[in-house]
Amino acid sequence: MSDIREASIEPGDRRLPGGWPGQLLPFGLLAAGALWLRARWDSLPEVLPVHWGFDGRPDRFAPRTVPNVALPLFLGAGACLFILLTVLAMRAFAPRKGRRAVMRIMLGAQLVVAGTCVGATVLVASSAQHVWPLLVFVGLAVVVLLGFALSTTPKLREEGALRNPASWHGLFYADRDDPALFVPKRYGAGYTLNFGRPAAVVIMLLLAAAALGGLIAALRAR
Amino acid sequence: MNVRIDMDAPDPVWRQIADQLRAHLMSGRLEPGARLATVRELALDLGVNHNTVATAYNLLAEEGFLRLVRGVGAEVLERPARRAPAGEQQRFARRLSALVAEARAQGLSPAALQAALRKAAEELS
Repeated sequence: MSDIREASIEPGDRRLPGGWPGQLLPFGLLAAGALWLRARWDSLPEVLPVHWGFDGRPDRFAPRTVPNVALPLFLGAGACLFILLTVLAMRAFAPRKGRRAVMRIMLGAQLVVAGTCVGATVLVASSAQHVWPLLVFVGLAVVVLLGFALSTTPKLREEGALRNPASWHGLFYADRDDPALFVPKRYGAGYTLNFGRPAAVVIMLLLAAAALGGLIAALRAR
Repeated sequence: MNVRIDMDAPDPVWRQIADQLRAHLMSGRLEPGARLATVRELALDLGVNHNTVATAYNLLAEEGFLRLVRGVGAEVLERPARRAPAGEQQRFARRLSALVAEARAQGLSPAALQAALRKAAEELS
């Protein structure tokens, strides 16, 4: 298979979608949630619902402590920070074609995550008897985000223009000589990691450690 | 405006990049003051080492086409027309003969070569 590569010689667009204000908006939402919580902390009941069953009714309760009530805000901040760092890494280490569209979708994902986490905190703090409002919000937000993704993501790879064909091993890409950390996926839209770069291995190990840590924390909480 | 490289071609990648950029510059499609993609951007897009792109940019800077600004990229310079040095026409004719012979050996017809040469000359004039 021939290896023909093409690139624009015009300068790329290095702006972040929405600029820094847009990128920090999800953190602003989370901070607003935290301020709302702080303002009414003393008036909250001593025991609050922290889990809702399949019937949408609360089935587990916990004392009013910061970790119990504000956990969704902390998780949201962690997830939004992870997405923001990924966006910044993509701006520095991904090919330009289609990059901005993917970064826009990631900003949308940050907003959905932040909105969901603020919603979960409100649910806990208001001793909500129903979880449905949050589920409806999350469902609608995910549908809007998916629609946005499908409508804005350009076809990142033209037919027959697979990047560096010799460096694909199934769905995995590894080329030590390729400076890109993120490369367009072999199939579909979006990026995958270049495992020829040591940073890609570090990222995968960190993600695996975070997933394992989350699993252990969830099991211990039971 | 794009550069297109063939990783399997006998010409080194830096030369392919330099040759195509020079063609864009000589055609007037890139005007003085225009900015080019940074070395980093082009290297990431093409999936080649930064030094490969930097070598091409440095060559064009030495030829007076570009001004390289660290952290900003490359800017197209106003380049006064030069007088060809003595013997340049013969040197070009020799290189062209070798190229024509190679293309004929690959099976290209004289008519196809003439058309390609005419098109290249028109683009650069």
